[in-house]
Amino acid sequence: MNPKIIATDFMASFRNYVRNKGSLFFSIAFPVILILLFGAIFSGGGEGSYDLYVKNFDYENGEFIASMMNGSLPGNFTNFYDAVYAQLNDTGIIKLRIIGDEDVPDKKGLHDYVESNKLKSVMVIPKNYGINLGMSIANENASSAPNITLMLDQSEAQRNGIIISVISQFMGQSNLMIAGGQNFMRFNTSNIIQDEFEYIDFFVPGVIALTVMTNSVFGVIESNTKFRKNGMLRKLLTTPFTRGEWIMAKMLFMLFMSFVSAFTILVVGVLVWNLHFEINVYMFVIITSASFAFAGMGMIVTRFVRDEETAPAAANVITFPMMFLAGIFFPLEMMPSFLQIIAKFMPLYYVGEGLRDAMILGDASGALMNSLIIFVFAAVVFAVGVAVTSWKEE
Amino acid sequence: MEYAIEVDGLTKMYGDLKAVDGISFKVAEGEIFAFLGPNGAGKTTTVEIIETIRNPTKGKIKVLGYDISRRTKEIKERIGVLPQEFISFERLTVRETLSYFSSLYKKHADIDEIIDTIDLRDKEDELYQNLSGGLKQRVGVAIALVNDPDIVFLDEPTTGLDPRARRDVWDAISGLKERGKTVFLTTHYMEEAEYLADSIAIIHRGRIVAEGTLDDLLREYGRQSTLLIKGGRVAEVADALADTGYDAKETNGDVEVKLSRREAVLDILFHLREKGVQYREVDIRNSDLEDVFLNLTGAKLKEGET
Repeated sequence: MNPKIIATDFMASFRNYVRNKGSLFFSIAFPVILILLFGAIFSGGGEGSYDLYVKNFDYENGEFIASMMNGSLPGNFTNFYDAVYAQLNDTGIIKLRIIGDEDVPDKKGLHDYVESNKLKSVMVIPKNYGINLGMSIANENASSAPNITLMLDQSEAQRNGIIISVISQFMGQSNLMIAGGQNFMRFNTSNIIQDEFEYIDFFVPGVIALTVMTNSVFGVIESNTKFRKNGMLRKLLTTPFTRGEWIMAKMLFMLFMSFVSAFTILVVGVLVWNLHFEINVYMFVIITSASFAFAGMGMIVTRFVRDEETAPAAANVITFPMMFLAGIFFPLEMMPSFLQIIAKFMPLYYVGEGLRDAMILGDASGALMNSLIIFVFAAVVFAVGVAVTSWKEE
Repeated sequence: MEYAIEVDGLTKMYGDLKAVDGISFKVAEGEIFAFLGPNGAGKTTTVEIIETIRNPTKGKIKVLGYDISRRTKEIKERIGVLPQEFISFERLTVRETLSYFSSLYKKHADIDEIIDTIDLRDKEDELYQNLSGGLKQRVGVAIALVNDPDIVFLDEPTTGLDPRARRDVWDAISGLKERGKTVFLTTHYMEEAEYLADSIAIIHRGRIVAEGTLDDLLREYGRQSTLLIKGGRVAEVADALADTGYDAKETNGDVEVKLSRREAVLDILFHLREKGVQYREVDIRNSDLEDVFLNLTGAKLKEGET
């Protein structure tokens, strides 16, 4: 192996690639368009009003507070909190959903409830809030005023902004009425970290898997059929360039392409969908193994179908079903059970799952398991691919 | 005499098909050797075996004194090849292409010198895909020179080119000989072999049917030269030549007289003038490799090509 020769071939591939608008489109722009499109379709987006869940640990004191206020509450409310709810609902921007005591009796149960119901924004009013608020007003001591807590899912920047502005406005007006603008009514925020994921969290790793697959399969097919047809392989055979060096150079370039695509997709995911992900060793192992595995599959295809036009069609026969059946666009659970079983025989399924485990779900054992499956598969398929790829002419 | 290539009893079978049938020939150092034959005669198979990229079924082949079955590494470093219908990386410039191939070898020729020799200076920064067919072939020849090889193999270097581009490629090939390279040229164009080659081997159906210099081949296998008398009447010409032993016959409305030697032309014209035979013009048709090939094989070399 001569590293200089490998580097030269890598650079030639790189130049040839970046000067080709078509391949640039398919390996970079296409996956980006895919996630933008599918992300937009399945991520919901424009809601009319935003649900704000309310857990009020002080509701039963609301009547007492109302009586203390000597009927200065707007409307005919006998409970202070009902008046607050009504005002917030009247904005038309947020819709309050009250969490009853039967669902969440105490503070301890709140987190579980938020998590299991996948709530994105919850307003928490602490016990004795009304009394403490009244006392700080009476003492004219704003710094001792109690806080209402807004629990917000940090991945929902737009929704959070709207809810915060509605609450701020409401409290600002109330403070003006109560005490000339001093901050007696105030809130703090805390984060909700949801284990439940958005479609885009599901889709981005899938698109990376898909892109690695198509880049590798079709990259190999191009170099094995086109270079055979246009005499490039014959030419290289007459030079000291060895088969090992050639395969190494091509694989390095394919790996490079896989990571460039993955990086681009992640950047778009972050910019457009505020995607949260983790970069770890599993991600590298999976993408690398997948590149080798799919390159090996490309080699096997071109062993049997050598024609430049028909080889990609043959490859489509393999990649197309995987694209739709391996749980890339839709979770496997949405498919009939016999299709789910078929998916388990598709290498792309393990790549997508592994990347999800590694990058999004933080599931180390799942990531390890899937990495191992892909690694072993890659080792076998790539070895077979290299073995069946004839370098010398008959 | 030193030989760059020695082929002895080469046979290549593809299954039951005998593509090359026990051929033997030698290529001298520094000559342009043309391997001439119609498509499918076994030219490319033979040249690819010599280039070490195909295995022979039988036979002994030495390239630069190295046995091709054992010393492929050494041979590859010292030969330069332009494969048949070769297309290089589409989106590399001419210069990038040459440095790419140069980096594959231990020995490097000066790329600027190659660019000048092959006359590619004003195209050196052009992408390969934007070049005309003739320029692409010249780049192919240039690529074959990057390791300053002792032998240059050119497999059908002008197929599909127009006459002007063909002439340019020929000039590039003639230049190789001046630089002391041995050139192994396969072609099915007899003009190419006639124009370029020092020696010619004619291959037909896997066998070499004739070998030698152009003059050797024409002398041995060519047909007689003929004098065409255009616009003349055959009876008059025959009458004028009655005592000279030359036969006149009519072909395509002209009168044709076979020449035993080329000097006979003067003799014949003298007789025609003496007898006052009227004609428009005369033309001498010499024998060419096409005739040689037809003579040897009963087949046409060009197969419908013009």
